[in-house]
Amino acid sequence: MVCREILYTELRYCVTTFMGGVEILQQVEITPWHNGLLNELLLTVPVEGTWEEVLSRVEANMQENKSSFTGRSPQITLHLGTRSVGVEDLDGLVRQIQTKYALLTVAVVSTDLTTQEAARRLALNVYMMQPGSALVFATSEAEAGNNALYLPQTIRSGQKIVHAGTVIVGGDVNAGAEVVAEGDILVFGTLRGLAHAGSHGDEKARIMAGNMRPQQLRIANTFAGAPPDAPPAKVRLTEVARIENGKITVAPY
Amino acid sequence: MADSNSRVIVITSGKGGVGKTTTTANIGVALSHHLGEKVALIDADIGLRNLDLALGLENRIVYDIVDVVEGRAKLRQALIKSKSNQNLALLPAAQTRDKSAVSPSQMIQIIQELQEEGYTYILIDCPAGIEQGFRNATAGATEAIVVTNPEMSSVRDADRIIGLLEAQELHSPYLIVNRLRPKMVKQQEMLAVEDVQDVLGSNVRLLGVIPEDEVIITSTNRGEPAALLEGNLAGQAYRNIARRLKGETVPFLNLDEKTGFFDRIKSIFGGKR
Repeated sequence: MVCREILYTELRYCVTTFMGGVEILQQVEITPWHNGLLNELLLTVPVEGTWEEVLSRVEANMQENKSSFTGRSPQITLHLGTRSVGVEDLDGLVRQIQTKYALLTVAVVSTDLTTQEAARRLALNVYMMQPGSALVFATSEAEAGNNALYLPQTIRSGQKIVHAGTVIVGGDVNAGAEVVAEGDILVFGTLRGLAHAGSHGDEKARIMAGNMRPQQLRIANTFAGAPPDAPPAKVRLTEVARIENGKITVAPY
Repeated sequence: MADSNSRVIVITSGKGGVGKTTTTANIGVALSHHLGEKVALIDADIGLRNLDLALGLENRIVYDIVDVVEGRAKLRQALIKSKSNQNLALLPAAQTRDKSAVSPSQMIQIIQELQEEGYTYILIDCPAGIEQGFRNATAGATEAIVVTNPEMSSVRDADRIIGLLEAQELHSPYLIVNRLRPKMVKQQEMLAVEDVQDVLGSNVRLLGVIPEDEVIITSTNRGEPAALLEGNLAGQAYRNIARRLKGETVPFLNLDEKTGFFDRIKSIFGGKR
């Protein structure tokens, strides 16, 4: 698990479309893609149909593509879209793929809370966006803006949001929660947990919060702990954190 | 669930030792003894059986939940009726097995059977942690009560649990703040109820606040839940929780009065807050 974790922090996903439930996937599909370091497989599961149907269609598709699974224990990412999958079901699918085809499931792409939690319990990485086939980076601010992920809810302890663009949280980010974004992080409520903006080295990234109370802030490769002399939590501090002269500074917005 | 007339409520906290079992026992007693509901309590903490002690039923266990699941006993045989109160029954946990002895689907089946037996409230005492035991305990539940103490580590675990409950479609859980010491809150040495609510968000519904009370310890040791003790503030808080659970609007007890203990008791009897 540990090496898997390290490997994935090195990866970058291209940002093509944000799939917030608008995209409807009909077929079980297996497509090869390059994750930036090595070749992997991506299994796309349709949103429609019962879980039993999904399993049998995966099975059929796997049989068909068996010959293309080359290399030493190839890795696979499961794209489950908006489907809600419990931990037992997901575990079953992961085991089926592992035992029958020797494919190691490393991550799940999902926008569903239940599925994400199930994946986390199975020590899989969770992504909200479909990984792409080639590395494409935003070339303008306008393009980068389209990559923003809006989460209306509060991010609770133990939940981790990883996103290749900017993340906007409508609620709070509680202590023990983590938000990691390649772009900026905007929290409308109280930021109590960990926020890491510019996670792939963007030193211009900023972290904004309606009430800035973080345990730790990270921007690019710099990090800062909470000051020991913060005023009582009831005083609302709307602040922005950015890198100035190589250090993270927090100033009123 | 099969029978919409009964409520299946899991009592959980994430962290251990915050008072899940005591809360389960007391709410169970208050609902059955004071409000006349037919209540079944399930101890889902397999391997670390405790709820029987809190109810004083430890000497009467013959069969347990694992015996039911594995077919050695019928559900009715395993259920232990309270001596003083025929409306209250306990399905004890097994002490010699572990959490993997029961699966979520078996748990759902047990709950359905209890509903068919006519129990109007089924309370599930969830083990600490977020592993299999938690999954079992929450599998058949349609509502959740999160118990927390007014201290940071307990609140953070409660937050984690609320996130997990939401992932299982158990939204807007009830919240019980247990072991509050009004004096320490006043001196800003302990989180206030408002601080806890602030962290956990507005979609958790405050069900009650239980003051720290030594009587809780002695009554749990004796197997007589404090809810049975008239005139005890913590017991009163539990009885109020049971009434709120039934939908009644009950004002919250004023715990931080300057008056002495006996005055507080008097004011409760006088009907004043």
